[in-house]
Amino acid sequence: MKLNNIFPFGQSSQILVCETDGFSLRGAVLNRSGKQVKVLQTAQSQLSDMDEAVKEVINQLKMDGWNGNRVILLSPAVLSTLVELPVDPQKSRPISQMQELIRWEVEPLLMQHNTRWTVDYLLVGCGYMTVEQAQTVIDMQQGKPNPTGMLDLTDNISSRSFGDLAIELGYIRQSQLNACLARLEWLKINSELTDSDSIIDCGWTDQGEVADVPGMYSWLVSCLDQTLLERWIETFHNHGMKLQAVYPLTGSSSTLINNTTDANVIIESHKGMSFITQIKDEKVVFQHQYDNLEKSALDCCLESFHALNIKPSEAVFLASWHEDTQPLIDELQQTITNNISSLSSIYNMNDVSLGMIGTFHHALKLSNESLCVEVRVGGPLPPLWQRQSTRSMVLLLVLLSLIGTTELSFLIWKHHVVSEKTVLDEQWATIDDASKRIQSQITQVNKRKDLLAQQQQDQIRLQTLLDFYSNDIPERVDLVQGILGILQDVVTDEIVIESVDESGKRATFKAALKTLGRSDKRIEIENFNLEAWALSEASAQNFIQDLKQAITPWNLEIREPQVMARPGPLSLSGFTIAVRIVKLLPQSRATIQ
Amino acid sequence: MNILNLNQREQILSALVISIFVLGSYAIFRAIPEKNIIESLQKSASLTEKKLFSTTIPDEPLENIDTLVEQLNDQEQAMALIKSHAEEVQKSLASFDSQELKVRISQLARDSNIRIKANETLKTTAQKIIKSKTQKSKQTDAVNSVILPESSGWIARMSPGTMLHRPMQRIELAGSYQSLRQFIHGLEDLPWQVTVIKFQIEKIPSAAPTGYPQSLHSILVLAL
Repeated sequence: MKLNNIFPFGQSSQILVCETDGFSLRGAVLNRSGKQVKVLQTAQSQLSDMDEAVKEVINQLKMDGWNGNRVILLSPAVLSTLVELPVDPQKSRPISQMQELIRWEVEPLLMQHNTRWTVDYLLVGCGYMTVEQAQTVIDMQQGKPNPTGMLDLTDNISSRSFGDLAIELGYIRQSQLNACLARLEWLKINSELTDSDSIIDCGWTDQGEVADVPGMYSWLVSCLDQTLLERWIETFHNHGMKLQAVYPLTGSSSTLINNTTDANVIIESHKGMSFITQIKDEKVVFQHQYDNLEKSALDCCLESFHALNIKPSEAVFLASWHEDTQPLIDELQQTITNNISSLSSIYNMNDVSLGMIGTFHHALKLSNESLCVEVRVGGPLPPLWQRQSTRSMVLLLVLLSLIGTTELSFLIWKHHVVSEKTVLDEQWATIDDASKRIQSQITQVNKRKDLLAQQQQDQIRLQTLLDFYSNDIPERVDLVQGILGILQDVVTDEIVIESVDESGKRATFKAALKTLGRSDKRIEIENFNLEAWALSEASAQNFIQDLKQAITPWNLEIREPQVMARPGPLSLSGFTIAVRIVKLLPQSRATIQ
Repeated sequence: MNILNLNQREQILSALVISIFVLGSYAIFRAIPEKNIIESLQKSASLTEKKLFSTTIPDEPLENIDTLVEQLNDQEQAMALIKSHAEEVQKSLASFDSQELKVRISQLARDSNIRIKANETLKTTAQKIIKSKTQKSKQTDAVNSVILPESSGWIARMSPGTMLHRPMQRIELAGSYQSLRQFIHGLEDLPWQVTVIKFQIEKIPSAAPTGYPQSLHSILVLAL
């Protein structure tokens, strides 16, 4: 099974297959539908000029709705033959070298093949004259006695053409001759009109090693004069068609054999001609063509059959170009012992021939390609790897593979990175959310704590204000009045108060002086300087003593009492008294708020 | 040159040119930008990973917000109570420019047989107080809200710029000791609070006539 059979991509499934037998042209648009081949449109032309015939056929097909442009052609001008070459198919040579080798082999064969195409052959084939009349004309050309007595030898008959003689003899008309000459131009090259030797275009396919001749290989070759091929190409091109290949008229039906592993024989029966092909192990091992317009189809088939030594067990298929095949099969079956069967009976032979079907199979590679070979327009294809299209495809595939691999790498890499990033982003989002939530809580707590502290501060200050006016100020009022009252109480007749003030030594933040060697951390917050005069030192000390006792309930203390002798009022001798009355407070309370 | 019939060398050259063109175009317009995108994603991922490793989640606060709100509410209530008390106290204070109080003080002096020799506003600028307390004042933002300690002295504590600021009046008096005491006692009976925050009492050098009390020269600083 071939890949093309599974995936028929890139191939158009519709091809116009044209076939000419040298006398007429017919065409059929064939379509592949699965493994079946269907005939879509058919057309036929009996015009002698193939250019006109092609035009007529294509116009008919286009009128029927066909709009394709691919054409393959079956022509009797194409020679199909087997040649033996010392070329191993496994070690194929360059195309140009193969072409030279094959041209060398087929040139004489093609020349021999072309000798068949004569005016008399075509005139007889067209039915314009009989075989006997043609023989008479030929005999006259060769100087033999003229049985008709219509022309004398003095007329220089040998130098006159067959057509002219036939016209003069009254066998044919000039128009019939002209028609046959026009047909002849499409079957062989007139060497008199060409300046140089015609080049032969070939197609070939290997048929394996020749039995009993090591190193020699059989090749199935189709060949055609290049001038003829170019003429056909131009003709189809002028009508918007693209000729792809030209197949031999004979031998193409072999591709319709389903089982080619067994030995098979195919006999093709054409008008005045038969062609036999023997196939073994999927290879063509023998081909033979027999031409004789005088003989019947049965006789031609028998001639071909007997040209080959066929075992009774070999299957024989008949591919008939005649309208009714079954009578021919029956007659053949009565004559030979081999089992004879029709190659195909599903097609109407009036519209399409088995050769056309076979070439369609071959063109679409639906069958064994080695059973038939075409003359490809543009020359044979090189081996697969050497074709530019193949190399272009390989290059394209390599580039696509590189790009695909890179894209795949990118895809995998990106997927890995994105999935990793997604996981990390999710983790980060979780942590970030938690951090923000906690931070928000902290902020709110701090804000409330600050607010609370601020309120506490305000409360303390307000409380201080309240304490100041509720406690400190009344205490001060009481203290002032108390001091004045105490002084009034403790002063005796021997004491004169000189002054009381709160200036002088001021209260500071400094701790009070050390008393009795102990560190006093209290702060003086009230300080009253008292100066007095006493008549005696004893009264002075008594005054200090009384004062000290009187201020004790007020939490006042006397500091730095001094008694010094000094004249007093009226120049009386006495003693001055200087004391400081202080109010102390623990240092911890002496702070700025 | 027939493009369908290139020789081996031309085919190799064409393949090379096409390959360079296709692969170059692919690299420039697709591969390199895609690579840059992926690398930026990778870089972003590694940065996130570094952040993940370096970030520490702060500890949740121990305090409960509801508790704090409750404390705030309690404190606000306490504040409201204190404020109402403070407002009551402040009602007993005369306004800063109360002339009526000064008239009452003069009346009281007359009633107490005290002669006022001088009656002037004691000018104590806040600047002096602030300067003297600069270092300690740094702890507070608003200067006018300073509460000085008791050891600062009454004048300083009630100076402008302090929270306890009140207008102060310096009065020089002449009179006997009893009159002075009567005057000071009488201050307590005034409709607004007047406090002697500093006083200086001196005996005048000349002796009083017999049977008359000794006259004293007094300087009082009153906080109105």
